[in-house]
Amino acid sequence: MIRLLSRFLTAILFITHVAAAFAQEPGSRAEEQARQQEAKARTVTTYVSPWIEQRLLAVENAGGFGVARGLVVKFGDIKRGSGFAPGLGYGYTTSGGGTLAAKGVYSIKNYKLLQVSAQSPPFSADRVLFRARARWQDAPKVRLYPLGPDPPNLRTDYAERKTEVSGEALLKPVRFLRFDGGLGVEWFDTEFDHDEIQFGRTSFEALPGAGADPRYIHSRVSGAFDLRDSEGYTRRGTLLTATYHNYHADSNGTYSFDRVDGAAEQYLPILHGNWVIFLGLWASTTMTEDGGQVPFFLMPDVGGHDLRGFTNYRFRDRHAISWTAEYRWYAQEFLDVAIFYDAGKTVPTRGALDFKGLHSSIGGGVRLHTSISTLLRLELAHSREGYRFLIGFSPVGP
Amino acid sequence: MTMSTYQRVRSFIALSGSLVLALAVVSYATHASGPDSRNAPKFYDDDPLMRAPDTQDASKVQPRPISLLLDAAINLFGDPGLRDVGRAESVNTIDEVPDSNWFTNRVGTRPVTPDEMYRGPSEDVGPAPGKWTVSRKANGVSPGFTITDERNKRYFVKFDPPGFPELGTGAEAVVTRLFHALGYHVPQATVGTLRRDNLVIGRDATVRMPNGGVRKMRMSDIDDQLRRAERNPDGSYRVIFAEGLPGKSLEGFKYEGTRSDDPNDVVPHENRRELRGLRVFSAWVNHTDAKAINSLDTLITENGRAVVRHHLIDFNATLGSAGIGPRERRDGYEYLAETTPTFKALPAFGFYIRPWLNIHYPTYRGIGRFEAKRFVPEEWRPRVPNPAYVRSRADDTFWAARKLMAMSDELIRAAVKAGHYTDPRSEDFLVGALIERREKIGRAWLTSVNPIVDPALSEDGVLTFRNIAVDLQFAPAPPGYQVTWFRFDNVTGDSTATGESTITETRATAPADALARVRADTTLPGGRGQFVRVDISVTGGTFASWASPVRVYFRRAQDGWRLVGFDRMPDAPRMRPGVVGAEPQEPGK
Repeated sequence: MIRLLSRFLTAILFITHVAAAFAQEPGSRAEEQARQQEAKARTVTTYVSPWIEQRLLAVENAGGFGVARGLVVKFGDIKRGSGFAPGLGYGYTTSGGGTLAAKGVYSIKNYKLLQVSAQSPPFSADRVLFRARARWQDAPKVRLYPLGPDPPNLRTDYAERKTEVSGEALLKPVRFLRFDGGLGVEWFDTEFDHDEIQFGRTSFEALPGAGADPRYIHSRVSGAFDLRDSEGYTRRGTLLTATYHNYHADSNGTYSFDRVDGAAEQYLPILHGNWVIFLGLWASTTMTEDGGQVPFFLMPDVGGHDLRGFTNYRFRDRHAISWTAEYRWYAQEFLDVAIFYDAGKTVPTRGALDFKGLHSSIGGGVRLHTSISTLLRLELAHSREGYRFLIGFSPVGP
Repeated sequence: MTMSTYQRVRSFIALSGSLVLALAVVSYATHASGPDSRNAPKFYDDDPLMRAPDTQDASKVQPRPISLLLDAAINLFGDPGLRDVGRAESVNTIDEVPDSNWFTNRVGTRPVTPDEMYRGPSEDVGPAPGKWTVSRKANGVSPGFTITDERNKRYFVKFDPPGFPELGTGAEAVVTRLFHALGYHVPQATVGTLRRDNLVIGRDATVRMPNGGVRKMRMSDIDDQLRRAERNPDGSYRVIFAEGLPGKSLEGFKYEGTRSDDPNDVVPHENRRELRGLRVFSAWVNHTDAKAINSLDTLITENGRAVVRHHLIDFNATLGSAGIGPRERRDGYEYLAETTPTFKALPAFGFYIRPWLNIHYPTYRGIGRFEAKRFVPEEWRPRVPNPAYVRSRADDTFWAARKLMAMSDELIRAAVKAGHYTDPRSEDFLVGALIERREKIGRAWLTSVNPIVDPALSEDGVLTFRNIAVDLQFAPAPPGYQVTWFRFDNVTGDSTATGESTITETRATAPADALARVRADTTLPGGRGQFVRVDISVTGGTFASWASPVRVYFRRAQDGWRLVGFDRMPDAPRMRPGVVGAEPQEPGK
């Protein structure tokens, strides 16, 4: 009887335990919470970052998108007028911070670019930098109009291939002063499809440098006084810059020349940057020895990027001047709206380099940007030659 | 049949009988309380829980790096988190946040002295004198590195941005103390001085090279960091020494969802009251950068068990500082990308002038862009929408505002003193601005919902409570209150009205039989009859939302009536994430 009783009690205890274990209701709030945690403990999984997060983390840990490393997608950087130009690049960063990079870009207009480049690590507390590159560029359809201050709207295209091997040194002694100098060899090969010449064979053959295909030793020095808050996207500050080029044609001395480009830009923020007024003035002039010529494909030009209501390279001659007035307003942290007025011309003599008889255009658009770079410009411009829609990936200016 | 066989059969029968009997007993025991016993009671004996324990071993939790860009993009354009916004889930039954590895109640719950406030989260006063060994440099925009002193204590060193002395370091020291007092886990941060000569490179110190590899750290790496910092006239640097947190770093926590590998993390972060309420505290100190990478989870040992503790870190981008300079004018007023103002501004030719554009800021040393006059608490925004903030309901912001009201002027001054501003005008201005912003928060969020607090029911049936908005003079006293009494069945959840009264004071006597019947029912099994429910609403008065009653539950205990339940918004409609806080799913209802 006692054994029976003890078995009965044992069974009671056993079943009570089992019942308790499977009971639906916890006995306390603490137990309720413990059960939730216990249930999760049975299903915990190690977090695995999605692919996109892994890629972004790699970029962030490397120091940002500007750091060259591995295979990357590239856009643009071919001759103006190439249209949308995607490509592939490969970057390698050395342990000291120098970079080696290679890229190939192919545009929807059949423009091609191959380039290998190297950049030294920054020296002397980011004050000194060296760069070198070898570059081959093929632009099969570059717009060409007659030279002169007011040429007719007659257009042909020419093909331009340029091969370049060059190096440069940059010096930034203080934050607002910048100097750089470069030396390179440049081969040009230009070609016309005679069937497509619309404004006459005579006009084409009269262009200086047509068919000459000179090889240049190109040296240049430049200096800049730069008080802008950032180069890639500016809301305040001043930029004064001048560059002197010497193109020494070692194959045909006739085409040796000098060129000077100057720029003055002023960004004026009003109401803490809600409005920004931008005034830009750019001028280029070329110089030759007596009897010398500047080949047409290296002449200063106006149109497209600076005189936005006209097509790329619409005006081309020995000297050029253009200016822009732009009124920009803040729509959002990464978005500005702008309206602008551009004016400019090209002239055959330096004496005519003034503000008379400028071609003009007006327009407006939006800019997507970060605090230091312009990501996208969408603009609609109007001139006497009609409307143009522009897509840009850099600030306004030559 | 042999004897042994007979015995085995008898034993089998006996055991079977025992099992059947036992099953019957257990069945009775588990079903004795009736058909509703499968429903959880509303209140357990241990309610209200004042400490939410972590019961499971979390030793397998792994660091989870968070992409700053992806986190920002998702929060700006993605609206992550649960769509349906209900009551915060991390509160106990009396609508308070229990102590946990997320939050520890301090100010407003227990006395906090000015000395304690000035001292901060720990007794630590910075690294010991002697050489400090640099072991790691900071990645990112702001300069900084990790040092170890001769006691082998680890600190993160942060600097002021060039041209803005005391800006980031002051903000970090002050806000660290304020957030600690408010209840968050934060690392100690002390203002101190660093001299280059005092630094040595650790034997194992490395830096990440631009190509992703690592190399031994050099003094030039330190100099690179120092060049980006504000330097004192004597060549030293004013810095923040942020004490290294104990335990293994697990990187930050997100403000939505839970950590999939932490068994104790069962409440979606966007539904945590302490994270929803952080909106109020962040608005107070202009902490516009409360994002995932400015938090830190650590694996610690608590009561012999590995658990995760959740911290807020990096307060140098608070008050008027953006860490790398004074904050943008937009900060606190508009998200980085916000549709409505953008579409207003796009066609306006610049003549849509945001109100924040013409705010005047003081020029006191170390203050940056911080002020109180133009501060509107309900409209305050961080730089990027925070999943917890946009789900904050009126009861969440009320909870936080009430806690903030316990932050006395003396405590604020003590915290600001720890910022070691050299210009007394800076200190005075900051104290004044924080007090003024606190008052604005109280006026905004203590009045936005029925502000009844501290209900109590005496043994003799007298109900007392406070109207905190009236007590703090944020609102005039209303004409009266309506009090409705119920007998509450804790098992079924049924309430039976027993009487109601309209009163003009914050004191009411229970109807004669309401409590007597409850007292008589206390012997019912399952705790069915031990509870009384009281709904208290405001009649008349300035604020329409006060007409919705708060719901209060008392449990009959041996020594009288004990508050066991409180719901400030029992009849709240389902809500959805809004632009800055939760909004009704069907506006207007």
